[in-house]
Amino acid sequence: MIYTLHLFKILLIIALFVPLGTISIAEDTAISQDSLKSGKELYLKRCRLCHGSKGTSGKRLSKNQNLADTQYVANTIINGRGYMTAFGEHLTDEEISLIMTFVRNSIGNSFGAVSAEEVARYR
Amino acid sequence: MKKYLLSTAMIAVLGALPVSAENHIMDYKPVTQERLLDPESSDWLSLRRTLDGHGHSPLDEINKQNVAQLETVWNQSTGPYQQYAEFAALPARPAHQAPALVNDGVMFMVTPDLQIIALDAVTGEEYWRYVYEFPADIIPVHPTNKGVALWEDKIYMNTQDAHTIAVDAKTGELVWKTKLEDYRNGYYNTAAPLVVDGVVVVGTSGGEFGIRGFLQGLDAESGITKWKTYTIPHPDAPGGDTWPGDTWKTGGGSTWITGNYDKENDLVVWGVGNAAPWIGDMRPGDNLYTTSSVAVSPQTGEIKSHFQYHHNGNWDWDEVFPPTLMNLDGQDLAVRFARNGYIYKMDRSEGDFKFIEGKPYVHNDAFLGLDPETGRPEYDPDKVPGTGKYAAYCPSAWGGRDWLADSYNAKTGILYIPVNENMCGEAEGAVVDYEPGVLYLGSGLSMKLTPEAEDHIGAIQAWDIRTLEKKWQVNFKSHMWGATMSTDGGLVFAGGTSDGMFRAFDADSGEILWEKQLDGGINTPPTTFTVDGKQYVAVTTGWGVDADRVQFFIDLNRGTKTEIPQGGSIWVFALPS
Repeated sequence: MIYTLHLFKILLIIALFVPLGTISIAEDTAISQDSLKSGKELYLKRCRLCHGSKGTSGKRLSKNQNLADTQYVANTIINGRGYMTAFGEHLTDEEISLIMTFVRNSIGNSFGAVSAEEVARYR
Repeated sequence: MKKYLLSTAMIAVLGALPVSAENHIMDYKPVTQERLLDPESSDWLSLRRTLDGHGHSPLDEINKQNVAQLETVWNQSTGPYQQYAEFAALPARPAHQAPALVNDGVMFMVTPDLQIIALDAVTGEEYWRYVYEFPADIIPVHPTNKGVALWEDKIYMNTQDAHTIAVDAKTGELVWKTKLEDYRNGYYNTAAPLVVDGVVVVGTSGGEFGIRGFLQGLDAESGITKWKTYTIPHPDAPGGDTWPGDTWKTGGGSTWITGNYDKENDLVVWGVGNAAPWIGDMRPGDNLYTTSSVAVSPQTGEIKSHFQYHHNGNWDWDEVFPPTLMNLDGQDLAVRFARNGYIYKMDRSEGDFKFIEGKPYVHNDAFLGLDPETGRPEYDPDKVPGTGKYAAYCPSAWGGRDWLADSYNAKTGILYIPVNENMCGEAEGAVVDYEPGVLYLGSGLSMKLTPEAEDHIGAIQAWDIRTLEKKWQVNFKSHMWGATMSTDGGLVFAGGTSDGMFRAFDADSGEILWEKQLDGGINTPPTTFTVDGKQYVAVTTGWGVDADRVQFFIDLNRGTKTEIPQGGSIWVFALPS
């Protein structure tokens, strides 16, 4: 079976477009500065080594349309994908939701918040 | 990933305390330069037993006539393990990769979580256990350690947080600790040190993070740095003009496998990994000294000579394993089975590497051939990935051989090498910016099996170095991730297959004469020794890191899911009394 995974595609650096703070997104869901801050802290601790602080190393997260699909992202974090570690045993639903909310609403993305309850449904 | 179980309280109890009241180890026999260069047949004092890298023992009590009777003398876990890291940066279980060194009946083992264990080699009784304390924020890419070095009355080890330490061989107490680099910038070290005449020579891992590779010489007594030589030269130094702009600052060139020592020329011979990022058009030029062997003065660190196997690399073919050094029919040779799939035979009589001959030992479709005078390859442009340019190539990124050691019988001129074939790679480059401590690859990584992989992937090959002709090959459907050890008993020992088998092969034919399934897969080199005249063979289970990762890709190709027990225990075998 031939397959063509490209697990470490590393593309152009994108600056942090969305400043931290309370922002509005398409669904009119307010995202608090605290949740973005907490999500960023978790992201830098758990994800930076592979994806970079701006989401432009490893598999690119910056301006990545796949991040619009909350089930896809939650499954990837929980179960791993290809060369990505499965974090389901290492992160709580709340922590995963904070990371998802951060990466979906910074580093060039604007896809809305994710709740811990939604993450729990994908476990 | 396996959870580590050793608590902080247990570390406090175990750390550096002898656990045996009456200790043979208190009569510890110092390891001198003379003993390292010409070890007693009873001992296995350095990674490959001799500093020329032969991995061969003159012992012959266990031989092809009686090896079928081999039985277990003792087997015990290397645990309990300490809290290391919750996960690896890329999925992989921690792997045991260190050989059991034996000095006058005292065995030394190092675990993936950096514990050094001193044991009675005949009984397995533990003398002491030193537990290295990690920084809490370590996220390993390669959770392993490939072994310790012995010198005089000390044991030397490199660490995941880029330090070198020395501990007392009798007590396991820390003697000194020297910082090499900042691990937060991507530096780490899994290779064993090499000690030559009182200088502890160490390398570094971290090429995938865009480090600037180096070798460093430390005083064995104090740990004070005597010299540091970068494998990526400064623009004003020889070879500096092979790097455009500032690319030399983040050029990779890691040195993550221990080198050999060329005693005839008083040179340390060390391998240098591939360049960062992985795609060559991001750093036009030959990119010295990446994908090369370098010959370095152990006293000053001066690079005396080098040989580059392929220039401006594109395929993640680290060329870190050092050449095996030998004298054959009066000629001093350096012979190397490169990750790129070619064998290189070189004359080292004047301390440099004069190319004699090269040929493929596994299929390589990226090279059109080697220059017969220089050994420099000509590339097939269709097999060279670039930025935005996809290319498929053979062998895969893990190469015809990765870091697993070969062994060489100087009496017969036959070299035994673990290989993988019928696995090919593909890559497409994408622009990447450097960020300290973050992966700096510039391409994807993938592997696909060829139709021939249905027959085999892994193999042990035997090569006549005189003629550079293959004598035999034994194939395995599994990939091969185990080093070889040969003996005067006419045997070759190796693990390395996914079924957890430890095998003895007939050195003349490759016939499997004995095999035993152990408690896990084997990535460690076997060793052999005697105590009171009786011969023993030791090997340690502990499957993980890249052996796991390659298995992941094989399963992805085959649509299978292969469960390989991790193991994590030392096995010692002997003939029945």
